[in-house]
Amino acid sequence: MAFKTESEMVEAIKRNEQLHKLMMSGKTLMQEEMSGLFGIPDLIFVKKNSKKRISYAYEAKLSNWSRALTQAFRYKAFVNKSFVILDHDHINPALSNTDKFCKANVGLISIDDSGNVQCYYNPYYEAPYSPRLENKFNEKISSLKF
Amino acid sequence: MNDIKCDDVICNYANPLKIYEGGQRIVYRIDHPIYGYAALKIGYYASPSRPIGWELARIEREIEILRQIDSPFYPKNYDFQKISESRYLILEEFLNSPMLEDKMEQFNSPLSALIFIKQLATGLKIIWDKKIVHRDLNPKNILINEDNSPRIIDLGIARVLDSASITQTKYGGPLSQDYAAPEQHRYNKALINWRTDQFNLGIILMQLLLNGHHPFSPQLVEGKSIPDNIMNDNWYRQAITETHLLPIKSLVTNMLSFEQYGRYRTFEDFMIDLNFCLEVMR
Amino acid sequence: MTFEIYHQLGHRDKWSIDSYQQDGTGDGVIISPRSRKKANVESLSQSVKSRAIFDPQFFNPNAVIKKMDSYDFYPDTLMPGGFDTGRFPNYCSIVADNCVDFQIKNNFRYLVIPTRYFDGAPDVEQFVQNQETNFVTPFLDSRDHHTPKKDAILQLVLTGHMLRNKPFIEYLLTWITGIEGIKGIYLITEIVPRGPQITDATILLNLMNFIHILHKNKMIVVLGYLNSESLLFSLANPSIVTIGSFGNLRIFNSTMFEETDPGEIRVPTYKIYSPVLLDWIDAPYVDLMKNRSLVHDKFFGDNKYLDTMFSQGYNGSAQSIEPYKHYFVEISKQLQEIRSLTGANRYARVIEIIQTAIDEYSRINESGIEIGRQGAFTTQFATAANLFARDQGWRT
Repeated sequence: MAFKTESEMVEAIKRNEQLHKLMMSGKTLMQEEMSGLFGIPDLIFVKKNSKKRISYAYEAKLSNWSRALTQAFRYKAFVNKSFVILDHDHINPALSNTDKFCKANVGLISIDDSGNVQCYYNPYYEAPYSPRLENKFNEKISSLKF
Repeated sequence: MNDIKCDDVICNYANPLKIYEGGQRIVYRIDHPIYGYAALKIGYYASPSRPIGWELARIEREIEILRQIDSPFYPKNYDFQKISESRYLILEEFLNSPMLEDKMEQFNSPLSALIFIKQLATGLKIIWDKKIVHRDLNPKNILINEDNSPRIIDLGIARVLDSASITQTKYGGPLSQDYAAPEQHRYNKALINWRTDQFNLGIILMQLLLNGHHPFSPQLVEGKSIPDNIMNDNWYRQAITETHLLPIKSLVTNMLSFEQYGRYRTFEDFMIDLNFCLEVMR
Repeated sequence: MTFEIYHQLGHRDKWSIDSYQQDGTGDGVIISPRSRKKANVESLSQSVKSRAIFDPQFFNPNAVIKKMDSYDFYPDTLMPGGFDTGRFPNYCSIVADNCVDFQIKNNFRYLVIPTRYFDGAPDVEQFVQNQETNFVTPFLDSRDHHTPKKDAILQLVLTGHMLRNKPFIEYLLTWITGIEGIKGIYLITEIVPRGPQITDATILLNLMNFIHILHKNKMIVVLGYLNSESLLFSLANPSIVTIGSFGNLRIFNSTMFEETDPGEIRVPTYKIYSPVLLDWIDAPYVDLMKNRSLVHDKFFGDNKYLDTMFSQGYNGSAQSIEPYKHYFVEISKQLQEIRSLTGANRYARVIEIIQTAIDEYSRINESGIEIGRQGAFTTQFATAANLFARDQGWRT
């Protein structure tokens, strides 16, 4: 069954254990709607272990995959991996365009209101493409606690 | 037919000679002690007891315009009076000149037609400068002097742009449907200006070049009627693709533009193109 | 026919004036009283003022905002109790006198007859009547009582609704071309909603035809608040096109003249104009394009401001000066190249520029850089250009 609002979807994503399994294991830092960078991701996760640190950004949309992809691509300016999460009921149009996600190296995930998560494309790790924004991002998270 | 009472008037003038009798007025040539030959026009104006007739305001407007003008392009007005029994009297310059309608063949070469149109435009500029639009230019309202120059008559429906216009009565729109510009057919009074007369001039120019044939005539371009063709922008464009008329293609196309904004915006621009055409044709 | 390039002044207008005077970008300025106080306008040098156009900005007569209160000609200030539509005809002559007086005393290039903004597509006859009664007649009357007699241009704001309404536009053109006493039009367009660029080929073409008809009537046509469409509109032979710094000087929005709380001002990351892509590109994308070697040396132009922005450690923002001065230099270069061409030659060059942009956006999208629909306007520009060219006989 479809989510009614994006906020509802974001709440479901925050609680979702399956989603965390897609990310690196380690200490976790989460931030909602971090502004002042390049676009405003719905969710930011930073995972840290003894060997490395990986940052993740998520753009949640009920249905507009194209707009979500454009926004998620922006977040790659300051994070290592960026994802679009769509309501499962509206995933099909995006599935017809997975080549765009692959080319952009932006992940594609669906979630339903029972908490079932499906990943269609898991992006490879990349350094953020804007060193300046990466520094700014790091400054922002340095004041936060894992 | 005509029952315009005039005996009580013409008896006051020497040698009255009836030269015109129409439904609305009667015209005599008389001998005037000051002006020599003069035209004496008598007619009824519309009144409650006699609703058939020209609006008095319309007649007065024409007189007022003529009195402002002192030009060889227009007849001189000597007198105007309201007389008994809802009649009016106009005394003006006697013009023993034929109408353009009867003399079109004199102007059928491009050069002579352009010269004539230039003269007409020069004469019209006198009223345009006074913010007056003729609105009824057609071959019946243009007389030809002995030197082939034009004399413009019948300013009866001329519109003074700065004053409140005369309300149309049962005469409805313009008098000459076959020469009226699209905005006149649409009764759009707000859009009547000198460019309306320009359109009329364009028709006359083409008519001269086509040996008297009306450029919007169904005989040339099919269609239901001339007014209908005017409203459909359907005129004999083929004529100006002929080699000898090509130089004036742009001039005529602009003058006959359906939309006013396609016509010449200023008199000066119009004359520049007209003079250019004249130079090419000489 | 050649055209001039004017800076549309607004916030930080000193940047524009400096660019005009020092970098040779442009031929004059359009002054905004919303952003510059009366005394500061008066103190501009004669060399600037004589080439300047003053925009009275009467769009919203109910509001006198920001620096407009330093002027003595706004209806809301002059009328006791503030502006009122019903009473305004009794005051329009005083308003006109004061506004004309100011413009003539400062010896601006033209006398601008202002306009009131109307949303949507109002009844055209009433619209015309309103403009005539409240602005055209009183301003021309006032002009005739002043010396010297400046050439007057009439301001006009066309909305998207008006531009899609053929009878409206035709009536307007008939009216405008029939007004005695004006030399031209200062035309502003408001398309709502819209993105940074106009993506409607019909509106673009209708505008070009509108400009073209005014040009054919030998009228001066000043086009305000232009973005990249200045390159496209050059085909219609305007007299002056504008270039503006901030987005609100390249895209007209009537809400700028309302007394509303501006709210929190977000300062986005800065953008860099690309003369190849014909648009402003977010700085992070510029970094990415360079890192992936997708762009050649001149992709973003070639000037000292670009060198600064590309230098190590540059930490610019949307409030930095370099992105705007860079834009002025690059767009001016493009416009100056185009204005040296005429007719079919100008069209050939403009369509070449647009086609290059289309190809480059395609290449960038293919590379996986997701800039979304940013380049969508280019195909609409091409469509409008080609249709206009066909009507002019520049292409079959």
